[in-house]
Amino acid sequence: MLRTENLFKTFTAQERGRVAAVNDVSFHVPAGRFFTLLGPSGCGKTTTLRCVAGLEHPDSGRITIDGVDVYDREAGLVVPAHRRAIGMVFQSYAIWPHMTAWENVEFPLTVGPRKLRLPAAQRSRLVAEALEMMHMADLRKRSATQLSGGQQQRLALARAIVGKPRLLLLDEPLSNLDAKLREQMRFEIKRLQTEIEITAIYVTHDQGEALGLSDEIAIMCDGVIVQRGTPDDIYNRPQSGFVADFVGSANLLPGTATEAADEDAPVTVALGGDVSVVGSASGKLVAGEAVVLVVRAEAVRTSPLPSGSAADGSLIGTVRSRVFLGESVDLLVETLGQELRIRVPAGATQYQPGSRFALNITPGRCLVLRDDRAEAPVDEAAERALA
Amino acid sequence: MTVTTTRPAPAAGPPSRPPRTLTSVGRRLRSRSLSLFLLLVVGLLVLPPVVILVMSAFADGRTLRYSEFTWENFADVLTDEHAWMSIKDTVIFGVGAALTVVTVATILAWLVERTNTPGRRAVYALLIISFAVPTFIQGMGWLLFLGPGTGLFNSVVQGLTGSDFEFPIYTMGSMIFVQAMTMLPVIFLLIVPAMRSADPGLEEAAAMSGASRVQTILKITLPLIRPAVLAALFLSAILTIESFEVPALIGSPARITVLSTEIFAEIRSGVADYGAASAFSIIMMIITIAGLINYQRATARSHRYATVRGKAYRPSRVDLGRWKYVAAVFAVGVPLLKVSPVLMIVWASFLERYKPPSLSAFGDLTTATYAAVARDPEVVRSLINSVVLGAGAAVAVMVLAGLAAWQLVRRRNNVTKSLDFIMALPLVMPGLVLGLAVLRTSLTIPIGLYGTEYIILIALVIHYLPYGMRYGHAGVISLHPELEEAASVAGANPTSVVRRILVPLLWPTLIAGGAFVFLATIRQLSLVVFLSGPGYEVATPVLFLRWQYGSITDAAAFALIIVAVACLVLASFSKLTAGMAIANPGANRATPKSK
Repeated sequence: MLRTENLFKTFTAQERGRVAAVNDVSFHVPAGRFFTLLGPSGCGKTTTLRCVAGLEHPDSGRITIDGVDVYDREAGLVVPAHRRAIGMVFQSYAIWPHMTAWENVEFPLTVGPRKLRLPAAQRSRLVAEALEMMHMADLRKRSATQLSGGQQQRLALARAIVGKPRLLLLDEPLSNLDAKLREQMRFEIKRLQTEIEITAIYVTHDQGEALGLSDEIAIMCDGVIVQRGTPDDIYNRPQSGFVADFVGSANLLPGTATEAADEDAPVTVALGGDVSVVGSASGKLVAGEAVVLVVRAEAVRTSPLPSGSAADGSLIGTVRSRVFLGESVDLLVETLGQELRIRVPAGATQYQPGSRFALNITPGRCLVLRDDRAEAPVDEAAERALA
Repeated sequence: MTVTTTRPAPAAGPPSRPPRTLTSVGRRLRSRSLSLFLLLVVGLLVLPPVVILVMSAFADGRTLRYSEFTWENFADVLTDEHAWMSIKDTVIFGVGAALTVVTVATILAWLVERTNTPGRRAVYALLIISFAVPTFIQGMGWLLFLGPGTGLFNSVVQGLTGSDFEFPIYTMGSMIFVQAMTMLPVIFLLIVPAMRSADPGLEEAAAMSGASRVQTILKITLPLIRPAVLAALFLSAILTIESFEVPALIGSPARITVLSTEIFAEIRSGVADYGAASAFSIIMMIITIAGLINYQRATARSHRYATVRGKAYRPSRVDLGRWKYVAAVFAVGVPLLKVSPVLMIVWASFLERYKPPSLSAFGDLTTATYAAVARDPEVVRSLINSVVLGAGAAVAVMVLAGLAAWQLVRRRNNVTKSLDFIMALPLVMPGLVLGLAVLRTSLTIPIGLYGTEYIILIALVIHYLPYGMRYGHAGVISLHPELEEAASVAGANPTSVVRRILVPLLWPTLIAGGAFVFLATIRQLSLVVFLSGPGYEVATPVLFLRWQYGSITDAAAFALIIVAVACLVLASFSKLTAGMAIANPGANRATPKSK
């Protein structure tokens, strides 16, 4: 349905000279799929989306929508945005304040080549349908400026789908909404997308949105797609520290592989201080290689300190702070000279700041990655994203 | 996909047009074709007079074609001690009037837009009314109001205190005051949009950070509107330096000459000395270029302060509490003070021989002066010309400036930057000099413009391009680019985006700018004084001559007729366009039928 090949786009930044915003991005989205570009701000996801929309043009590469080239640098082909037949929802909603809700939705049907425009009756049926679908039917006469944020958002969606486009682009559509509305709109978007079976490209920096909505996610960092996969893949099998960190904010513990291992095979990792943990290798590993252990907050169990000496290889942590989250409690625990975030059930009262526990990392529930953190840009971006 | 495509898609069926293939140079040219076209039009308008002016400054003879290059004009001017005095006084005048008017206008704008000051609605009406009155008639009014002898203010103060008080009208201080008062509406209207578009949330955030109201104003409100205030400051300084009316009315009797009166004297005293006048103009241009550079910087900076988004927002007002009555005195008092000289003119216009207002003089009131002036064919012809040329200039300026501002804000490239520069170029040319330069251009390049109304129209358009640009710029900056992008993605071609989205959203700005240009052309004197002639005259130069050689009361009646015509045209114009603003997007406003 949508295919991009080797997209490059550079901008001239004031201080840093030319910056590659999109650096060799290629992907293919089959029809009817919900595809998400996920990444920290400045990673090039929005630029990629705007290139697909035709609002910006890549420096090179090729974009094909539904089998038709809309951009091809080699052939010198550029189809302008208004002839790409795309629906798009903008971050600012871009609801035209000089039109009513109805007129906003009707707009896409009243532009474009004259001979292809629909008769008035059919047009109002489509507008009514789109408004109905977004539960906006009774607000049709409302001036756009009288709508709340959530209503504007729904109106923007209705406007994007009224012409039954082949492709729906969404540029951080939920980032201006409050949390509850965001939750609600997330379901609305998913329902809409499956109901009209449209191919959707979604841009966000919110991993929760990405995991919840997508059929497939592409994680971007510094203009490059660093990993692609289903939400399950991305969450459970991150291929780099950056992805592990960005999606689900995992703990990353440096260590050394004590043995060689094949992909998905269990491997023992020495973390220092006689402590070692068994994880599953994300790829081929050789013995003695520097690795990173990806430990999700919920993969750590606590137990009372063992009596006797602590030198039996278990991890000892001191609680530094606790955050109550309702169903659970997040603890920041200091261990091996770094901080580890773990999640424990709410109601447990024994975890007070300063208390010490043994930490048991559930074997097999954590991933062992080759240590790629020497590659500075990835790491910096990760830190930026977490800051 | 099973969805039926109801919109034309390049995929569905044969494409309506074969996909165009473009080289990168061709694509670039196409995306810049509008800016290039605008650059061509504006360049052809603006550059010839500038070039001719510079050539005149370095020419020895009296006709350009036979002159040789010389520095003599500058040598003559710069070795003259009197000329140096004029330059100094020009700077004092410009800085003084700019600081005064911007201070007053900023306070007024804040009171009107962001506080609950009572009577704030009256400010607009009072300021606009007085703005319609040509500057030199306002100056006449101030002389009647504050001047020695028959001045109303002096006689009232003397009557109340019993002293022999005399307002020092013939001083630099008075020149600055009167000049500042004449500029107040323009500068006020320039600052108001910035005041209006500043996000009140930013002020509320400051309040929540523990800032007091005064601290919030000083640290948040003022810095936020600083680009607009700076721009207003430089613009008012430039306006003052190029002004001619107040220096002629008050400066000349006070023996204070500034560059503009110096230039006027060079041309109107005996044999016209174009060389010296042009040399003075170049000096004036150098002073104003310094202001212009800062002005450009200030407006470029205002990019960062765009706070109006596609999202709805509500401005909140500061509750001044008891202080609001003090504020009301200021907010209504200043515009009232500004209107009072106009009332003096009204008074004078109903008399056949001028005498100051008093109870006994009421018996002499008559409309005979109006009747006599309105029967004069020259008056009628000049009024019609003024209205037609003013409206033509307003439309031309706002079309050019609106498009140029849009191109500049949305695509900053070398073409649009050059366009911006050329559009701002006329700012450095005083009206008097531009009028002269256009006249000389029409004589030097003989394409049949000399001695026609078109030459006046061209001069007016050139002169008001920068002002139109300010309006357009402010308007476009307040529009989120996604509003236009959403239309593109929805299938609207560039022409439709302009027609359906940009123009309706920009409409209030275009109307405000057009109204400003129209009113400004009607009151314009120095620009057209050399271009107007028998058969193609405009109102103000005719009025100027009649004031010089006729009676105060005749001039007053004529002036008020001009004001009345201007207001009438403006009112019907805005009524007409207000209707269009609603009708335009409503072209497809057919009442939606439910299914």
